[in-house]
Amino acid sequence: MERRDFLKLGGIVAAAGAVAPASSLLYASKVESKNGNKYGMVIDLTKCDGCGECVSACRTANNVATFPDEKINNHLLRIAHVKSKFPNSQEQAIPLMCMHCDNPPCVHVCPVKASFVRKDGIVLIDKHRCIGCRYCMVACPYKARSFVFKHHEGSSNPEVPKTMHGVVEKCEFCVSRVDHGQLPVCVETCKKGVMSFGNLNDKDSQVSRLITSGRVHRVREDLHLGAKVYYLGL
Amino acid sequence: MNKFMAKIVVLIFALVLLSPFVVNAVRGVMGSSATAIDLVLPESGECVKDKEYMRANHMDILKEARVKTVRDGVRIKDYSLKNCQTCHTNRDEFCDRCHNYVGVKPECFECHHFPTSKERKERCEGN
Repeated sequence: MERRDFLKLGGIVAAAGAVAPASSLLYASKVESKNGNKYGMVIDLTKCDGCGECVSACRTANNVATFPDEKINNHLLRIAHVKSKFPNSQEQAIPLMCMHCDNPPCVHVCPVKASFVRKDGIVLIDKHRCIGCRYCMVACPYKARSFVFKHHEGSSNPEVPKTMHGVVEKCEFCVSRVDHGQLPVCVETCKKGVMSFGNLNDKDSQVSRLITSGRVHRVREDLHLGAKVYYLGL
Repeated sequence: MNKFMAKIVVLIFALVLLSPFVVNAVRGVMGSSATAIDLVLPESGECVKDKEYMRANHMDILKEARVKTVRDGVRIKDYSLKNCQTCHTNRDEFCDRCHNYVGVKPECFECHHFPTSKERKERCEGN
């Protein structure tokens, strides 16, 4: 073979390799997730008395371990009790969780791209990929993320994988439930109807109507992160 | 006498050196099941793909399904780890036995619930 022919052949082989698509084992046609949905939550603080039922339900449903050492106990959802400095002001309970920002700082800082925003706006951690560096915990202004320090045996809810030690965990809006058309556990548990969850892009959904009523606020709105958890009566 | 001793030493050395080959050859002739592992197979015998394909590629299938599920929220039941449990009810008698034999340590079961036969029995008794 002449040098010229050899080079031609090499070129053809390289071009073929570049054009050939990456083969998929399972998904012949590209399956898209439900597009057009953008999930959000509205929390009505006027109804919340801070009973903590949502917190315990969340812990059981998401396999969050309880350790005797309170310091390493994680909370995907927690309730903050806030009192203003004015005289005779009453204490207010505020359920706090991951705000699922549109522009999340935790995702920007992740060095391994384990944190990401799903197409429907839910901020997730790929726990297979997380290396436990905890940059995201530093970046999050809401302190929504926590690190699993210790191994724990057993799982309270076998339907959902638990989080291994050495990995960061956070509220995920109960993705597997949402994907199957159910509501997040906290929303379902609350009997006072404090929380409502739904599609923000759907104008007729309950959350959209509450938001357009104009009385909602978000925590640290000055940061312009586009949080998708709204509070009524904050 | 010295030469005789040297011969014996060489012979012993050769025997020791060749002993693994001899043992394996004898085992082969005897038809011992040293290479076969005893897996407890499900009764239905039908998997999502054929047996040979699953044997070689189940890890790739699970990995791809994992990425699709986590990143895109596409949950196809056939390829989920949960679906494996419907037939392969005992992790220790099927998955673990083979994984141990080939010396791989998948970390799937550290987080994903896949009961062993013992756990399954305990749960049945509890109920």
